[in-house]
Amino acid sequence: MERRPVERVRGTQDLWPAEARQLHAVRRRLERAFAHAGYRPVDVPVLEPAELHLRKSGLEIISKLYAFDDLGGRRLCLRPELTASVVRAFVAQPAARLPAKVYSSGPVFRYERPSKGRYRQFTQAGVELIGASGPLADAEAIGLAADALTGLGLRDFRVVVGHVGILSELLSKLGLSGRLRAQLMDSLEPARRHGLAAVRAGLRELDPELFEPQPATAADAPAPPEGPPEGPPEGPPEARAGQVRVATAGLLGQLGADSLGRRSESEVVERLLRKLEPEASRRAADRALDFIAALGAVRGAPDEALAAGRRLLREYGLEAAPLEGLEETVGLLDGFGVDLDHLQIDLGLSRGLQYYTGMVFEIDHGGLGTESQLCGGGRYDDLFRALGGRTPLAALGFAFGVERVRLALVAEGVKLDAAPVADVLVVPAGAAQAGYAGRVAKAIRQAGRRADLDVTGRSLRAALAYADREGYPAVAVVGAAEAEAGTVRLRDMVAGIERTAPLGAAGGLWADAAGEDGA
Amino acid sequence: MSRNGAVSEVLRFGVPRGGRIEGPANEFLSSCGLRVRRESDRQLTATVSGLAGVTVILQRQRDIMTQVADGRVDIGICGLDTVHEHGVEGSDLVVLYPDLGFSYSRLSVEVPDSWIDVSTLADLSDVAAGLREAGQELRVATSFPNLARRFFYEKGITHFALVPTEGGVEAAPSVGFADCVVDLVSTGVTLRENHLKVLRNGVILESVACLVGNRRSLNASAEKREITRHILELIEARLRAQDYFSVTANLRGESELEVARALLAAPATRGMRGPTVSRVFTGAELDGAAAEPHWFAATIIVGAHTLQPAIDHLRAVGGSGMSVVPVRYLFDAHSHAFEGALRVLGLHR
Repeated sequence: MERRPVERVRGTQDLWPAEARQLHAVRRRLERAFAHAGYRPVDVPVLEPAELHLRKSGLEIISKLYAFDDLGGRRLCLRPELTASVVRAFVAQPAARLPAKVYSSGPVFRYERPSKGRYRQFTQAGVELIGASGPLADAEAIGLAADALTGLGLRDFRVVVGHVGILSELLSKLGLSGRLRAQLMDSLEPARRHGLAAVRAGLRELDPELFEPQPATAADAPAPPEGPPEGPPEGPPEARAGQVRVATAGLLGQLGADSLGRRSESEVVERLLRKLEPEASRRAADRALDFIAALGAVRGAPDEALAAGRRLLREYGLEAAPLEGLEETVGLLDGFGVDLDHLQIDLGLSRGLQYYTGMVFEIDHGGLGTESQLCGGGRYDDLFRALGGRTPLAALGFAFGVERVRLALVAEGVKLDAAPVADVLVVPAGAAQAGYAGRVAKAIRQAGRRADLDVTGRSLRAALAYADREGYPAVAVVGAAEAEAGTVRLRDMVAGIERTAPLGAAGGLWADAAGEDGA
Repeated sequence: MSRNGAVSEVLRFGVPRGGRIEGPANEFLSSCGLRVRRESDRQLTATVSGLAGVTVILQRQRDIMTQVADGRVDIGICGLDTVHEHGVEGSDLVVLYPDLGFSYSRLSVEVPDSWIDVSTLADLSDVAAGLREAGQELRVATSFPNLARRFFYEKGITHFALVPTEGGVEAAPSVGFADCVVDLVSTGVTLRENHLKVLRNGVILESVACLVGNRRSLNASAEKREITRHILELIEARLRAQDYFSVTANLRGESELEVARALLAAPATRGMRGPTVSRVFTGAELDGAAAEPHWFAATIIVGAHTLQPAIDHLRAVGGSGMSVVPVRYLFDAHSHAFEGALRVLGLHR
């Protein structure tokens, strides 16, 4: 067997110090921003049961899940995001106080098609605010996200706010099946990106009977029955239903009782009856699709978009409450210092995650091309219950894609943590000074400076050239004289000046440079 | 040359042993003039008659796949279903020729006949949701766990448990250890015997036998590529020839040109490029009789579906004694199959 190099997994990155330090700096500073707002750190596993994400995440996540069986036969996954894990952990903490404000960060994994700014392993940093409802909590989350970016020096970003509760209210009023409701909730973004015809084609793919191709022209189509389209689909006329029940029960009886497996005869018959009357479901789905197209068109500056949204809700006879909430949130955001010119309302925003129930938001950056989303979040009031919590619990959260934030900062030319490797390179002049050089490095480190001990045994000249090339601000040359006297001699690589101090007072060598305290 | 005078091994060729694919694979290779010869039935290696330097490795198709991916075998025959189920993204396994014309089957989602309310994936998804509300999972028996899981996830069916099963998969629902099945359907007989039906939109993959190869080993060796070209040429020429007949008819006419004109007048008798026409000398002519007009033999290659129209037109223009021979190989000016393989290998200029 040839010994070829082991290749890096596709869609992952090796970051060497130049980039790794920037990434760490961004992550640290985001976390610091969260901590400053009163959030406390939590740490959750990278490995989770696959079930955690199958329950409520939606197709966007599930179809990209890194799931596998471990040696004990459990179905596990690498987490694709942080929120579900944090909420799972919270469900297991019966004594936790509310509201819980927590932040977490770390690697997440999605089986994406890799491209610039899109990786199969990337880093998220985000917060969860558990046990709080209402516009103030919504505004606090959006405001914190925007603040964290501003704190990093980023300017050219845009906050887009939507509300998935509007569509879910219409879908539940239409009485559609849970499966179709979930599928339609997922089609908000695809409808805008690929058009309603594409969404219809997707629905037809799963259910070719309900969504059979409709007559080409309006004239050929049967006139829709009059009356309000809302309300659950009506059952078939009772007499006919009774006949079908008797006939199918007889048929199934002939096939043998156990041929249905674990399904009951009545379940099969009742489903069949519903299927025989597809018109009501078809009308409801059409109504939903029209609404989805109309919602997608409502986006823009807050005032106009909210007005357009109110008109649309009135037209469909829906509650105005979600929009009133959004309006209040937007009003509060002004107070949080979010620039309203950079704020957009978009009722077609859905984030592709099924656990959101109310306000959702994203932050995009203009300089990143197609993968422009830096941050995403929203309200998930049902997730706690879906993951086993006993009562519903209002909650929301968001997460940054840390790699993307770094790319955005680079695109804007914001300088990120350009500090040199260390404050000083400690170089033993010869093998005899190795022991004392170690003590020098330790003394400098104890004085609060970063000391890098040269362990290569190279010549003094080579060591100085190296220090120069790598940009060390200073070198401590450890010769026999220093070892004898118990001192540290520091050479300033920029000014060319040398200074000496006793080992115990090494920190004093930087005394007059206190004005530009780096570390 | 090795010690015993045989040409030393250049290429290792995996041919399926066992399973439904074995018989058709051997028949197909024989029909291509690539007969697999082994010393005894128990021998696991063989040679190809008339093709020096090839060692045939007889294996289960699953093993052919992994060995080709590893490069221990250079090329091999296996089903597309095996390639998709066990293939690894970014591996060195490439499909050199995607359709060898045998072992057609469909990897399909099958449910009990008695589920008269279930005919689409949407219905199955509802059933899964119903089971879930009752605290149970839809159990899917399959020997294609990867393809099955990926397909269900793509279609938004997320609540199910796979029951890995090797052989007899289709009996699983009636035996009671699964609710439905993902398996290959070729004739549908097994399906009916087990009282199952395929969902209307339940076809996961249309499968057929294909020729796979190892990118790295073929890229590294011009000798291996040359033998692969030889094999691909025969396969391609044989597959193309299956649809064609060579038709020869005797016709009377003033000249070759006149006969040709009569045949070129109808689309069915134009042949691939045009008829080949040559003089036929009758005994009477040799005896000095001036036979006017002359006899000619015209040969054309026609597709199977135009055979009857061609015969009809030949008769209409006075043809007789028409002989029809199946074409065994049909080579084009160059091998599209080999060019395609080179493209897959990244070598086509």
